[in-house]
Amino acid sequence: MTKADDAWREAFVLELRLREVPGSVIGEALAEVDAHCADSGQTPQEAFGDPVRYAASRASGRTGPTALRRTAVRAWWIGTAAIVGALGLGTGITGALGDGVATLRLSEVLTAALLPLVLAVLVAAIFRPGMGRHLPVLVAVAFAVGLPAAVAARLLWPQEIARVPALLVVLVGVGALAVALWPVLSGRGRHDRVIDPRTGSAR
Amino acid sequence: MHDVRWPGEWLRGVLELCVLGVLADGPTYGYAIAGRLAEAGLGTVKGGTLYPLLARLEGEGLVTSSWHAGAGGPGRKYFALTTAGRRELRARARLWERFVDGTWRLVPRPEEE
Repeated sequence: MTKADDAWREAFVLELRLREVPGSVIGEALAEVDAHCADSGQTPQEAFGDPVRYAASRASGRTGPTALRRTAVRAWWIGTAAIVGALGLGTGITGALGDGVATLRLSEVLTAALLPLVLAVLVAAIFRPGMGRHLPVLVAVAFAVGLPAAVAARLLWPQEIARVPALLVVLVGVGALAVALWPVLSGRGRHDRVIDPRTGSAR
Repeated sequence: MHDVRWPGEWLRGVLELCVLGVLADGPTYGYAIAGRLAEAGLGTVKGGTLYPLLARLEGEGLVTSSWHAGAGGPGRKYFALTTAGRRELRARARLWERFVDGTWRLVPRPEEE
């Protein structure tokens, strides 16, 4: 295998990774390249053309409407869990430090219900293949928009709607935060290695 | 017949049907499928066109695949028609026949010119 072939494979894998193609599928496509080139005596460039364009055609269908809907739904439930977690902890701890009762306000319910929806609509509108690497920026933007929105909601709709034991609210908050952080804590994606279908091991 | 350059859109339209047709003769691997297509006079179909098409057929449940160790080589991925694939091939073959018949009703046969 020459250096040019290695560079082709690297560019191919990188583009598939950016398009969030699972490691097992990447391994399958790489093994096909190996087998086809061994049979035909061609280089990957000759047989498959430009690696980025070939990766795009292998990944097509993964970034169609279904994948987009899945990403938007994920943004919605993670966003809801994160906001319920943050609001729950904030309100719960404030209450626990005071008289042990947490006051739930209309603003909090509206924030928890509406902000994640806005987030999901934004994701559906702007998310494109390969944007996984911009995730930290997206999260920062979500916070930059979400925090002022939560403060504004508090000023606009301060009405109390319920008084609940503070400890219960803290527990709900911790639970919701755990749900929001689960994709990170469980290390999903980090262990998605490229598996060679011929040997069943990572390559 | 081997050096004919077919209009690109013809090949795109008929390639899936031809690949299903090749697989109807029994399971085989990518490079051999390309060889059969070339033999039939369809020209060189590159890996970059063939494997995404096979993956699509597999995604639609028309084809299955499995790896077989090769002697000294990196092994080969064999593709086979499923029952649904055979049914689809028969249905498309009927459609293709009608399509070609319709075309001949409009296009003058070269010998009749």
